[in-house]
Amino acid sequence: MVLTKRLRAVGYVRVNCNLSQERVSLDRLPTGTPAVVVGVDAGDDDAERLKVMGLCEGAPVHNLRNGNRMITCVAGTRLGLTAAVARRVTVAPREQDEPTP
Amino acid sequence: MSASHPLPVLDRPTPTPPTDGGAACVALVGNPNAGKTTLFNRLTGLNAKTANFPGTTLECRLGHARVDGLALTLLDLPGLYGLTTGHLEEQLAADALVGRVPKLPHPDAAVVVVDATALDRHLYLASQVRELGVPTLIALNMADLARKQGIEIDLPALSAEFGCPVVAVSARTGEGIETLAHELQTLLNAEAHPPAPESITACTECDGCPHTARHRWAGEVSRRTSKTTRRSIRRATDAFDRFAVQPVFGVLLFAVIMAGLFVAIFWAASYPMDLIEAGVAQLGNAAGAVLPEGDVRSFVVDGVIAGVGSVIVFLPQICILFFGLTLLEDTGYLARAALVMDRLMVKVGLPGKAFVPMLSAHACAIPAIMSTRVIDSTRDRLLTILILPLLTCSARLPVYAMVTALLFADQPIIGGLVFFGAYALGILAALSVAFVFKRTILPGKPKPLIIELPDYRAPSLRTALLTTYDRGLVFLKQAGTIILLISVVLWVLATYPKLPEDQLAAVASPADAALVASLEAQDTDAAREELGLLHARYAVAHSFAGRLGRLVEPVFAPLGFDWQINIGVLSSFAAREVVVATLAIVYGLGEDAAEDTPTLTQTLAQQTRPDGTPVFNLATSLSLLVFFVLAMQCLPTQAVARRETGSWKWPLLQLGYMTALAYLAALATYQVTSLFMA
Ligand SMILES: Nc1nc2c(ncn2[C@@H]2O[C@H](COP(=O)(O)OP(=O)(O)OP(=O)(O)O)[C@@H](O)[C@H]2O)c(=O)[nH]1
Ligand SMILES: [Mg+2]
Repeated sequence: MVLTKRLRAVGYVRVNCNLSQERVSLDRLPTGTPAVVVGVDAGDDDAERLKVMGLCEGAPVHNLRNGNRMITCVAGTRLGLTAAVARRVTVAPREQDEPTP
Repeated sequence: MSASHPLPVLDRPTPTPPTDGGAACVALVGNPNAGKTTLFNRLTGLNAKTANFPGTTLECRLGHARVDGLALTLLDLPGLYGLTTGHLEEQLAADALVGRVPKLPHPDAAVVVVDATALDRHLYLASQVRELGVPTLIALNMADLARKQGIEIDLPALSAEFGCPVVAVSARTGEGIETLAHELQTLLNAEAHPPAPESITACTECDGCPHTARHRWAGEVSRRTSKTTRRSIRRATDAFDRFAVQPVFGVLLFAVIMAGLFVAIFWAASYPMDLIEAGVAQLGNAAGAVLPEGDVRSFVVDGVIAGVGSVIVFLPQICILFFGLTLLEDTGYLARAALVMDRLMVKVGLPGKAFVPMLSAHACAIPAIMSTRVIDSTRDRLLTILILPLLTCSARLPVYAMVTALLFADQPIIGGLVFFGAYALGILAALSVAFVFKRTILPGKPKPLIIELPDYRAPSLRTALLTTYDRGLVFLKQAGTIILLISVVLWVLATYPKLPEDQLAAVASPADAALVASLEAQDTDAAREELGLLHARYAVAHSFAGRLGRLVEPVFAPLGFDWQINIGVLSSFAAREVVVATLAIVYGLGEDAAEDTPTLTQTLAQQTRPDGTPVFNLATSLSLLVFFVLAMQCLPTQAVARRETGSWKWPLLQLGYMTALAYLAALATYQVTSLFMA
């Protein structure tokens, strides 16, 4: 309980709790909408890079710009990536009033 | 995931503190852009050298510093995001941290350089380093920026979270450096080092995704120990970035910035280049005045001074290019440019980050090849290096200028178009070759771009100057030594065996022999001078170079080259710009005339073949131009390519494919043009 509270406080949210039902790939997340990463199509080098850069399960994200070359904000910085890579990241949009880092 | 790339574990749990007065070794580690190099430079000044990781082209810098009475050997490692990604670069850095890289000193301590304005991201790596078991200190860098952005960090709290000292510094202003030295001293002298706190080791041991656990921990710690009151810089960056990476506007913006940079380079470099040229000429004159006439003088003046001088002339362009690019990179803009260009470049199999090297290659391929280090995948980097020399560097300009002057002296518009065409041909060839290589020897797609876009910031003049100094020195060392060697070899080939004065009449063509006889009879100054030129021309023909030129006549005849042009072409394989000087010599003008283009082109235009038609007709001139656009004629570039790729295989491939391409394209040009002219 305490842990959940603490995680909430820092913006990290337990996967599956308090999330709206619908899930989309990161490239389809509208700009400005806060979301949480729920999965990264794992296994290879690229996925590993994404995770080290902060796009791993439970991380809060929002997009700054969408498109073929997009910008997403995660772990306190902006990441520029291709839509093809972003497609492998699944996110769940959050309610607007939840804490955003 | 991380199980397949376990954290390296330290063999020696407690490193021995330095006792014998030898300097303790401290490794600087941190994310890209954390300020490691700035801190390193602040501590060491110019007292540093670049070292390669054995067996790789990956570099780190080693330097010595004395801070507050503390003697240190510092190791500046490449930037990394994590220790477990399995990247070669990150693996090597991790190995270097625990002293597992041969020839690099074993670090007694690690300083994790952390960007105080992006704690969330940087604490991830910091916690991994803390777990290694090396005595660790955290340098919270960019204290000045953090203050401006209203970020307050609770140092004691952060120190408690990590169980190691934390010092706030600003590598740029020098603030906090004494405290850093003091804390380092304490750390190095400590008897025992506490293990990493459990909350950190728990991230590695937990069953779930270790990245999640660690990022979560980092975010949490950042939240607990820092608070931000102002976010204006971040907001401004966000707002600008929405436009800066737009497909149309972004490309335009990039084009404008780069065009500005290049105009500035050509403009600003022209002054020091003129100075160097004048200096080299004066040096040649001075040496010529001191030395007695003969082989030694010719060797020093025509061989060494002229040869090395022709390369040193490009130093200003290289320095200014690096200066401008470092400033631009420092602002954070180039990361956006890579994102914008990625979209266009991927189509031919090149990564977006190749764009800046490709632009630089229009000044000189050497700094361009050196700047491919920003490309992190080996395949992408190799492909970029392979195609870079196809782009028109400034050493080709004298050749372009000569050919256009020869063909279209009084038609400036057509002349301009030919110039433009030569540039376009280079770019087109580079992209096509990339496309072909992507399908053949370097298959695969460029690694998808995942790039951090840091906040924009004012660039550091000091960093730019130090980088410029460093790159300039590399250029001088690498290119200078090799060019010296080539100049000597070329001089020998063009000088020996000598043609004795009295044999001139014997080797000359019947017409020239008659001329020689009549000139000798006249015995005036003018006649003697003409005789000298005639002798120079036959001396070249008589030399090894001349014989070689005749030997390869059958090879180059289909391109419309005669044996004199062949000498020019052969000599220019070392450095393409020498062709102009060589042609001047072989057509009997003397070296000085090469400076004076009208004279040179007039003389060249008057040359005739045995059948009486001009040598430099449209077909031959265009063929020569195409050959010079596409051929790999620059040994210094090859030497740098060898250094950057770690083997001769790639430069040789470069030489092979470019020569073949140049030959075939020149052949087609000559044959097709001849057909139309006939
Ligand atoms: N304002 C400010 N800027 C800094 C400070 N330290 C570094 N910088 C700037 O941060 C940028 C990156 O610095 P570098 O020293 O090149 O970073 P690095 O860690 O060596 O980066 P990589 O070699 O790419 O891993 C440069 O623009 C520096 O001028 C600092 O204390 N204050
Ligand atoms: Mg650095």
